[in-house]
Amino acid sequence: MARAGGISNPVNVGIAVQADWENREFISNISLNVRRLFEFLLQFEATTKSKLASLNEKLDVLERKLEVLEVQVSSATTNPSVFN
Amino acid sequence: MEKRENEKLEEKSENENEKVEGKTRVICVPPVGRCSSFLCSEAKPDAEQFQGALRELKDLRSQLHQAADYCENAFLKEEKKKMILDSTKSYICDAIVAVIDHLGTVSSKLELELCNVAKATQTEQKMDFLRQRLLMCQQFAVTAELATFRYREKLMHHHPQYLSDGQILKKYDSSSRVEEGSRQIKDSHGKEKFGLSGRFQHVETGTEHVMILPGQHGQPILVTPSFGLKGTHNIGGDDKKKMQHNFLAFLSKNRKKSR
Repeated sequence: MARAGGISNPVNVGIAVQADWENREFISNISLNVRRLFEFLLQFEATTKSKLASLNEKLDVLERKLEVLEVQVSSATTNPSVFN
Repeated sequence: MEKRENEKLEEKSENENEKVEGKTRVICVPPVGRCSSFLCSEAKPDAEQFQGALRELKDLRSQLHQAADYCENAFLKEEKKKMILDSTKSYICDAIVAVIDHLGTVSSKLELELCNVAKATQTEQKMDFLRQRLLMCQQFAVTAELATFRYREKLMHHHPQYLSDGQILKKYDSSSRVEEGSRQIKDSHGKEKFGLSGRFQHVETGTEHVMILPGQHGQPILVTPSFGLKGTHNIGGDDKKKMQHNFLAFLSKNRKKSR
């Protein structure tokens, strides 16, 4: 009985170690996937920032062009001799 | 639709829970719902879809926080920890899949919003059209002004001094007339004054008619038709007196000949 108990102890230990190793493997997989997710988010943030910046620049240019056109049209309507 | 899916998932989880409840207490964690924004994408506009997806992601975050707290408390309190651990592992897998799904939808919606810049290009084109119209109006106004500027009743005379050698002398009125091809000058009385050899040209300077005669040393002399020696001017000549003297002598000789 004592020998059986002595045999079962290392078996239990072995099972526990195996379970622990499985848990660790699971945790490492989860952490790896979370890091990949984080890298994707960083990359996505960089691309969206650049796209938003270009869009902002385009809008600024459009606003300036619109202001120039407004001034030209207003001057033409008020004073037609500007074009002469 | 989202509610129906959540209800279905809840039913499944409840069934699973009922099986396990007999043995141990099960983690009563709300199931992780999948993103259902794709189903309603046709009805809502792009901006609302993006906002909806973002809201769902935020709700998922709060849900995951609550589930993590619950799992931790249950693992600490319960005796059979292996069961709780296994259920937690499965929940983590589902949660990660759900998070990836939500993030994918949010990123796709945002990218669609950024790529859909047709309005900006349309406004740019409209502004270019307006600018072209303004330029056309400006050009038209300039051309109209130029037309009024160019038109004149009195046309400009072409001065014969700038003509080439092959030009024929023109006829003038009675005040100072020179026949074509002839080299004789007649005054207002019609008498022949003198005959000239060589080439001479006629210039109009305002109301008075002036002639350019070849000088002695090849230098041209500017002479008025009145022949009063009043309007004699040397063109390019340095020695005025010499030229005048030479011209006087020349005229006196011609007078003698005519007599």
